[in-house]
Amino acid sequence: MFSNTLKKITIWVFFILIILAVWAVIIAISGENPFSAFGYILEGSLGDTGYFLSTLNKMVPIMLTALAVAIPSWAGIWNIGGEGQLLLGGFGAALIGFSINLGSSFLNILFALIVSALFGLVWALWPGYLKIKLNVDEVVTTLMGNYIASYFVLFLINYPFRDHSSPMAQTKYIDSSFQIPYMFRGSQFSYTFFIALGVVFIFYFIIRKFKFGYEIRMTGSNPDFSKMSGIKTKKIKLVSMLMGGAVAGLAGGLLVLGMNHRMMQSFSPGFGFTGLLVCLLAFNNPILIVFISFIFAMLQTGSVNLELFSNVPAEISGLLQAVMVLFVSAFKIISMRKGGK
Amino acid sequence: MFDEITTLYTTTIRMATPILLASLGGALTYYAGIVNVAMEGLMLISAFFSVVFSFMTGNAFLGILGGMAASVIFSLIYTFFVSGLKANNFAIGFALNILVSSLTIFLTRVMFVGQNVFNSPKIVAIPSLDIHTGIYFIDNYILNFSVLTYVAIFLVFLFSFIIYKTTYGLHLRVCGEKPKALVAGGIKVGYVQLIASILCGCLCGLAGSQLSLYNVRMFSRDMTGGRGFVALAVILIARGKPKYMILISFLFGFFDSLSLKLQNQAIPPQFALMLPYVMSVVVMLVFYLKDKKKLETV
Repeated sequence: MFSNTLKKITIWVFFILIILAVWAVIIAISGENPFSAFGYILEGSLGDTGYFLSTLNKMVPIMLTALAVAIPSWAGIWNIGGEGQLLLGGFGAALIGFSINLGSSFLNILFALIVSALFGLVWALWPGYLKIKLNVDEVVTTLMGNYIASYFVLFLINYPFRDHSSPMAQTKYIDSSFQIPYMFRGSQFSYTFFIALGVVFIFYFIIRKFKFGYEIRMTGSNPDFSKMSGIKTKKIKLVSMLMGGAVAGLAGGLLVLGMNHRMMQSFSPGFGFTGLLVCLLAFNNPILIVFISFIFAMLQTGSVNLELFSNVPAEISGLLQAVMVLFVSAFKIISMRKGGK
Repeated sequence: MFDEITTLYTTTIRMATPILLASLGGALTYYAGIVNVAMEGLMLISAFFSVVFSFMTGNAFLGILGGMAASVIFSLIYTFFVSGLKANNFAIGFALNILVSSLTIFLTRVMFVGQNVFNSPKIVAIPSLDIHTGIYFIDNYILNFSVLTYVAIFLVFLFSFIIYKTTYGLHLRVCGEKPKALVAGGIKVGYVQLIASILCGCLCGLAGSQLSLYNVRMFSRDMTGGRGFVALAVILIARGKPKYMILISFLFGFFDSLSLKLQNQAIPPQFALMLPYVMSVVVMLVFYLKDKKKLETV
């Protein structure tokens, strides 16, 4: 028993070393010493309190968009639409933030976050509904949804909701009573991080401890058995899709209330797709999602530092992340086969 | 007025060509039992390397070959995971798409520091057919499109023949529907899928070349803009039948063309840009609704 665990750990340490070696090769090809490059990445992501806090900040949208893929994925349905849901959620929060006031800051923030989740939910509703009613492929519809949402939000911030005092296409700032306060001076780190972390753990418990979570998992892993045992699989699939959309929308809301304080052009550098990679790498496991979001956030903040001190562009972070997903998928399959024998 | 219709028509053909090429390639893996979600990445990697090779050699044909080679390599990686390792095709497909998206922009920025576009007068474009008869209709409506447009139309017939009339085509069709029957007949599923994926790589390669060496003459970040998934929608709607795919590709090409035209009009450009994506969902919906009615009557 013990030796078996030890063996597993050895194998995974070996895998991690292989991934690091592949990363080193990629960096070397782009003309930089891998060791100094890793140094710049580590320094730029964990080097001091400021860097560390901005890494944690980066985790917020990544964790939640990963969860937005994971929840529907448990029920056996794909949500590739996290990017569009995040953008609409962000706009929803901004819209509430500059147009109404409920009197108390707590109520304001709560209401804006609920609206952002609802905006995301609506954007998951139609692909989910088309899937369960007509079996229209949800991968295509959610992906097309990203483009539609992204152009629609661009229209909203360019025309009806544009702040005309600004040369850029963006909305007005939200009222200060909507802002989720920063926790430290000189850093954008705010309570949003703990809200996001809390949401991940809530879903962790729902999926593990509740009857509803059990039904979601059964729908995904064994649809025929679920149907026979009376689980309404279509309803479960739709509800899990809606939850995914709501979580991605919430990510957008948290970005607006906790960081940007307005909706703007190039609001997301592709958080939805980073989240998708994280979810693939974490095999839908919420705890692993937190862990891998941290690594990916490190790569993203660290590679900005890398670009400052070398000729390697910051885009390398996406490359390293995707390569990691491919290698880990291969390792997982190979190690499972070995384990089976 | 008449000129405008001509422009709309020629743009339709131009925009439909990459969708048709990619959907033909994806149809082969679709028959072989793999719903190919990596086409977006295959087109993008080819679009990039077509430009690179055309830039380096000054020859559009070598550009196309370079793009195809890159696309075939990535198609083989995809097949290695999906067919060889039995990994989830969606997971690997999306990982590859994101890999290609980062890789191409990374390489662009390594070569041209700080830029998101690979543009140079040294890039040689794919030639048009360039035959002039002097008759307006023939010159503008039949001749003088990209060489690859004619290749694509030829391939529709070739593929119909391969899929329905050859032994490989038979294996291919059995492969997706009843893989066990194939194994019982002594044919390896992996082998059939491998051939399909190499051909799919070639075709998505051609599609990418058409995008970056004909429709425009440069590479820009994520320039495929979801066309790999439009091609997937074409395959799903047509159920992989080449003669339907040609019609639906031209329909989507028309929406692309209309979108380009409307961008210069009085409406906000975002709605024009949104149009092809909205329409691809609408068209899918219409066909699935029609199918549902058919199922109910049966």
